[in-house]
Amino acid sequence: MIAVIAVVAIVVVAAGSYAVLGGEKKDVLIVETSPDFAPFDYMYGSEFVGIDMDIVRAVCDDMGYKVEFRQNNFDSILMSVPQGKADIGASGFTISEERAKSVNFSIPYASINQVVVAPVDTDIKTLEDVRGKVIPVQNGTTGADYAAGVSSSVIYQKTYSDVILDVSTGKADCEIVDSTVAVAQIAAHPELQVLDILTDSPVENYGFIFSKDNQALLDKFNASLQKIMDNGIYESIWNYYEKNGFSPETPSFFSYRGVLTVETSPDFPPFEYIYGTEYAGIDMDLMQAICYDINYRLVMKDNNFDSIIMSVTQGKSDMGASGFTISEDRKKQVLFSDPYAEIKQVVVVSKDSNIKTLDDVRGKTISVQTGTSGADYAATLSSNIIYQKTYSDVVQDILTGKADCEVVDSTVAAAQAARNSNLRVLDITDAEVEYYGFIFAKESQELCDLINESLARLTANGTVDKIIAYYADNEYKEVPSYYSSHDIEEFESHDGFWGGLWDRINNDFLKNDRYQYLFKGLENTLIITVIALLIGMALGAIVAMIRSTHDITGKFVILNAISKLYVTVIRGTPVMVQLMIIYYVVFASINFNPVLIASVAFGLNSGAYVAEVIRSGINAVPKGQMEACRSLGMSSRMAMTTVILPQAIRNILPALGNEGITLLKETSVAGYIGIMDLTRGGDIIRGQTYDALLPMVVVAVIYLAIVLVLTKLVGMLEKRLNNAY
Amino acid sequence: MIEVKNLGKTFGDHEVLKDISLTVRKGEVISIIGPSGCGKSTFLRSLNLLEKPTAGIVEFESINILDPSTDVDKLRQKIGMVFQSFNLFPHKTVKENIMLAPVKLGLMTEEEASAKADELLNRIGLSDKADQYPSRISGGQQQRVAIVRALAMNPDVMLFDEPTSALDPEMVGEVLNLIKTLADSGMTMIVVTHEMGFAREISDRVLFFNDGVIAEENVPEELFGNPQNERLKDFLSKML
Repeated sequence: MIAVIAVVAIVVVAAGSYAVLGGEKKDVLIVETSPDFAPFDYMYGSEFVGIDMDIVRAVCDDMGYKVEFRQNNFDSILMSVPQGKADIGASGFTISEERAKSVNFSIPYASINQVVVAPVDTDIKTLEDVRGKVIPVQNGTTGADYAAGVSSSVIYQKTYSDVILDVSTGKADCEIVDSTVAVAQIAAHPELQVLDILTDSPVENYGFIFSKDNQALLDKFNASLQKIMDNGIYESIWNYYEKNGFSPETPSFFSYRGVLTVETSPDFPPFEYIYGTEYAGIDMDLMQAICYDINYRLVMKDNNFDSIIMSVTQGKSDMGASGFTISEDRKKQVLFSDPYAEIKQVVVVSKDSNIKTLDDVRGKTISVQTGTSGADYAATLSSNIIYQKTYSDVVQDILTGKADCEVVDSTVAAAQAARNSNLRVLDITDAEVEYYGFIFAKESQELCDLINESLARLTANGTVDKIIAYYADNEYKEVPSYYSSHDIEEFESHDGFWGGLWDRINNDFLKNDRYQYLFKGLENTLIITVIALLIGMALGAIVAMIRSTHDITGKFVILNAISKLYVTVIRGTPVMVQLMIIYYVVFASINFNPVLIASVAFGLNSGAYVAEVIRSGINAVPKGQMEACRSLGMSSRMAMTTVILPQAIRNILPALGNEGITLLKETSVAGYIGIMDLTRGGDIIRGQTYDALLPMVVVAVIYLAIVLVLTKLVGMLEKRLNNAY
Repeated sequence: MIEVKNLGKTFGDHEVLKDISLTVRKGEVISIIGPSGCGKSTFLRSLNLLEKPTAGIVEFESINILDPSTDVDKLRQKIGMVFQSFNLFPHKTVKENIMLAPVKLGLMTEEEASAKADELLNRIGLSDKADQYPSRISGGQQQRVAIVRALAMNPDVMLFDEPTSALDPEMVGEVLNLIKTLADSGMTMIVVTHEMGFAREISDRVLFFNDGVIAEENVPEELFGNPQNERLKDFLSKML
C-alpha cells in the first residue's frame, strides 16, 4: 500500500523527526550518530532508525524537544559533542572511565557483552582458538580494545560493513563485536554465525554522551530516560526490535505504529492549501499535530472536495480533512470527529458593491463552491446560484461582475479578502454557526476515537489554539505550514486583470516552484494518454475484428453481443462518469495506483471509439479483398490481420489521430479521482494564488502545443504510408 | 473431380439456384454462359463456399465441402479463383501478392515462394513489374497477376468469374490468351464468361444458365451451332 501511495501522495515529514513530538514548536536537539551499527543505529530509507534513535526520540519527546539527527563518524562524535556541535551523541557508546573524562554519560540504557562472529564452517570453538587470529573490528569500539588483547593481527575498519566484508570474504578469521550487533549482522549474513565464547570479556553498558558543559541537559535527559524506562516505552522499543530479529530492515518503532492517509482538496485557504510543495493550512497542521501526538506518519493525498467522502467511505484513504461541515446528511455516510473549528457564513462582495444587508443579497446572483455549506445557504437566498468547482473561480465571478456576491465560510472569506483588495467581507447572514470535523469511514470508529482523544489532548495543551492563532496572526494569508521550516514571504498583490503581468507570472509559476505542478501534472497527463491510447488501440482492434468478422461470417455471436453492448454503453455515457465508476465502484476495494486506474478507464473509453473507427475502416476495404484471401485458403483471422487491417488502418489514420487528440484532452477530468493531471495542476495554482486566468491560459497553451505536435506526427505518418502505394 | 448434386441457393425469398447437378472430370474445361442474374456467378462461388448453398451436395475430390467438419480453408488451397475485379492486395507489390498466401499458410518457405513467383511472372512476361504496386500496372496486367497468384498455390482446379468483364477491350486478349494457355496445359477449369468465341474455342463443354437452372448443356460446336432452348437462341442472337 505504501508503494502505491508513494506515487500519488506527498509524504509530509517535518524536518528532523516525524513521530514523537507533541504538537507544538520546540527547541531542537541535535543528535549525532554513526548509522552503521544495527540494531542501535542505522538508516531505513532516509530515516534514522534503531534502538538508540527511538529511545532518543521517546526521551526528547518527553522532554519537549524536537530531534534533528545528523550522521558522523563514530570517533568524530566523541569530539563534536564536547565541542557543542551536537547536543547528544547516540551511537552505542560504551560507558568507560576513560571516555568519562571527556564526555558526560547518561544512565545506561543497554547491557552488552562481546561475542565472536565467524563463518559457519569455522574451526574456532573456544576462546583459545581466537588467539592470534586475524580479527577485523570497528575502530574505537570495545570490541577493538578487546581484540587487541587477544591477537596482534587486528584490522581496524571504519564501518561494520567493511568488517563483515573481511570476515565473509575470508580476509579475516572472525570478528569481535557487541552481542546485539552480532545478531543483526548474522540476520543479514546467513554464512556467518555467532559464538558466545569470550568468557573473559567485560559486560558493558551503553550510554548517550553529552558535553561536560551541559549538566542541565543531561539531568533533564536522565530524568526522562528513567521515566520511559518506568512507563514501558523503553521496553516496547526493545521488544519491537527483538521481535524483528534486530534486522536492519526494520523501520522505526514509532513509524511502525502506522501510516495515516488523509485526503484533502488543497484549494481552501486558510484550512488547506499548498505552499511550495508542502500542504499547509489549519486542517493540515492539525493533522500534523495529531500525527505527532499519536505517532503516525502523515501521508496527504489530493482529491476533489466532492470525491473525498466517497474515497474515504471506500477505504481508499483513512480519513478526510478538508473543512467538512458536520451535518446530519453527511453523518449518514461518514463518521465525524469532534469539531475543531467554528465557522459562520459571510457574504463576500466586490469593493464597490451596494449590497449592505442580508435583504440586498436576496435574489442576487451568488457564486459558491459546489458542495459547501455556503452553497446550501445561498440556495435559500436566491435562485441565481453559480456553482463553481474551485474558490478561485468563485472569486473570479465576483471580480468580473458575473456574480454579485459570494457566500462562504468566514475564515475562507478572510483569506480571500487578504489576497485581493477588491473584495469586502460582510458579516450579515443569519446562517447557523457550523462546525468543522474530520471525516472517517463508518467502520473506522477506532481511528475516529484515536483522533478525538488526540484532538482533546492538543486542545487541552493549547496546540490547537496556537495553530489557529498562527494563521489568524498572519491574517489568513497564504503562509507556510506552522510546522514548516520555510520563512513567511511577503505577499505580493496582483490586482487587475492585465496589470502586473510579470508579477503574476512570478507569483503563479516561479514563486515556490509552482511550475512544478504543471510539470508533474503534464507527466501524469502524458502517462495516462499514452497508456490509454495503447489499451484503446488494442481493445478497439479486437472489438472491431470481432464485429467485422461477425458481420461477414456470422461467427462470434456472443462476443459480438458483448462488443456491441460495450461500444453502446461507453459511447452513451460521459467519460467522467465512467472514470468515477471505475475508480469508486469497480476498483473500490482495491487500492491501486490511480494513474493506472485512470489509464485503464480512459483506455476502455477510447477502445469503444477506436473500435468504431477501425470498423468503418474495415468496412471501407472492398469485399473482394476478403474473398480473394479466403479463395486462397487463408482463414478469416489471417485475412484480417495481413490484408484487411493494414489497409483499414491506412484509411483511418486521420481519424485515429483525432482520437488520440481527443483522448489527450479528455484526460483533463482525471482530477476527479484525485490525480494531479495538467488541468488539476493548474487548478492547484489557481487555488493558491487566486489568479483565475493565467494558469488556465498556460495550461491551455500546453495542451495546444501537444496537440500541434501530435497533429504533425500523424501527418508525417500518413504521408509515409501514402508514399508506400 | 467436382460432383454437384441438387444444389440450391436462396437469398431470402429469391431462389437463385434450383436443383443443379454437374460432374466435372479432371482436365475438363467448362464454360458457363447466360444472361445477367441467371445465377452463374453464384453457382461458381458455391463451389468454393464463397456462397453457402442452401440445399444439395458439393463434393470436391470426393470430400463433401458442405460437411461442417470439412476444413474449408484447406480445400480452398486446391481451388484457385480469379475474380472480375482482380482483387489484388493494393498494399503489397506484385511479387508479394503472389508470395503472400503460400508463405503465410506455411506451404512454401520465403525462398521457395520467391522462386515460384519469379517463374510465374517470367511465364507471363511481367518480371519487370515484380516490385510494382498493383495500382501502377494496367488492368490486363493486374488480372494476369491475379491468375498467377492463384496458380502459385498449385491448385487442382481453377474457377474464373467473368475474368475479362472489367477490362478495357484492348486488354481482354492478353488475359484470354493466358487462360487458354492454361487450358492447353491440362488444367481443370470452370469459366463464367461473356466471351462467346472464347468459350467456344477452349471449352470441352458449355453450360447455358437461365433462371437458376442449367437450361442447356452441350459440347461447344452443338450448343453454339445448334441451340435447342428458345432462351439460348434468343441469348445467342443478342450476343452476336
